[in-house]
Amino acid sequence: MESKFTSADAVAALSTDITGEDSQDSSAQRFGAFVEHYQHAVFGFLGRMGFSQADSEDIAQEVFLKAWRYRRSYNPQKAQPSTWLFTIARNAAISKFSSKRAVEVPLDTVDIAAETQHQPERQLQNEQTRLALAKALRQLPLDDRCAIALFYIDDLSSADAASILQCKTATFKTRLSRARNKLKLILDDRDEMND
Amino acid sequence: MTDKYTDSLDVMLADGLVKSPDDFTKKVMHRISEHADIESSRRLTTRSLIGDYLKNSLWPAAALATSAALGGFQVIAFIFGIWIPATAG
Repeated sequence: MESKFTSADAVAALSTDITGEDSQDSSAQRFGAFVEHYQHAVFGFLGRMGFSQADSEDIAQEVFLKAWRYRRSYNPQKAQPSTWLFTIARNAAISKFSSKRAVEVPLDTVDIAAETQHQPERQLQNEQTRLALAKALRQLPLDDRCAIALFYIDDLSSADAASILQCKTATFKTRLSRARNKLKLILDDRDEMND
Repeated sequence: MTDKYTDSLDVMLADGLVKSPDDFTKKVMHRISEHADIESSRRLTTRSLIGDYLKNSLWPAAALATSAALGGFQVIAFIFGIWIPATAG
């Protein structure tokens, strides 16, 4: 029976000390479980930040490599493992944007009909909606996008998300509300244009 | 924060727009092991460089110490050479 990955497991994965060959193996094993547990949340975060699948894979790998490299700097007294990890993820995402190398999928040029011609109608509709949402997210300012991207991570509370964004919880909530309204407006405008 | 998915937009955002590939953990752990290999070979290289430096620097250090001792002896001999005629009067 598979045991549930807990916060204590995450702390153990980050605070192991390598003293020999055997402990390095068990340390890697624990970190593997850490990657397995958090990868979906990291990918979800990067997708909501507006990265393509390929970029998300590159950034997510860098995030976990950094987490491995700097795991000794993690202090369980200061932050939850998820808060620490998503601070790394947020910094990696911002760094990717600022490096101007973020290759965004040119959604306007994606031939959805051609790509999904063999898919059932409902699946096609879902795919179109997903692409429209990704495009709308990319139109939001970076801070707003960060707020939305962090909000949907189950392991994070609003206070955790606020600490990652280095703002007060109330500020985070205001930013989130503003971002969601903007996103809805962008999507509504798109629907009106399509009608 | 699971009680926040109130509408279809929430559901879509929570669902995520990109997915982690099945072999993602494997890829990350492979890169970590590569990184660990590089680190350990770097440590070994540093250690062997220090070892080589110590080995190579042993002879020059010995030569330097001998030269310093001889130089010191010459200075003492010079002072002594002046002192003897001076005291002899």
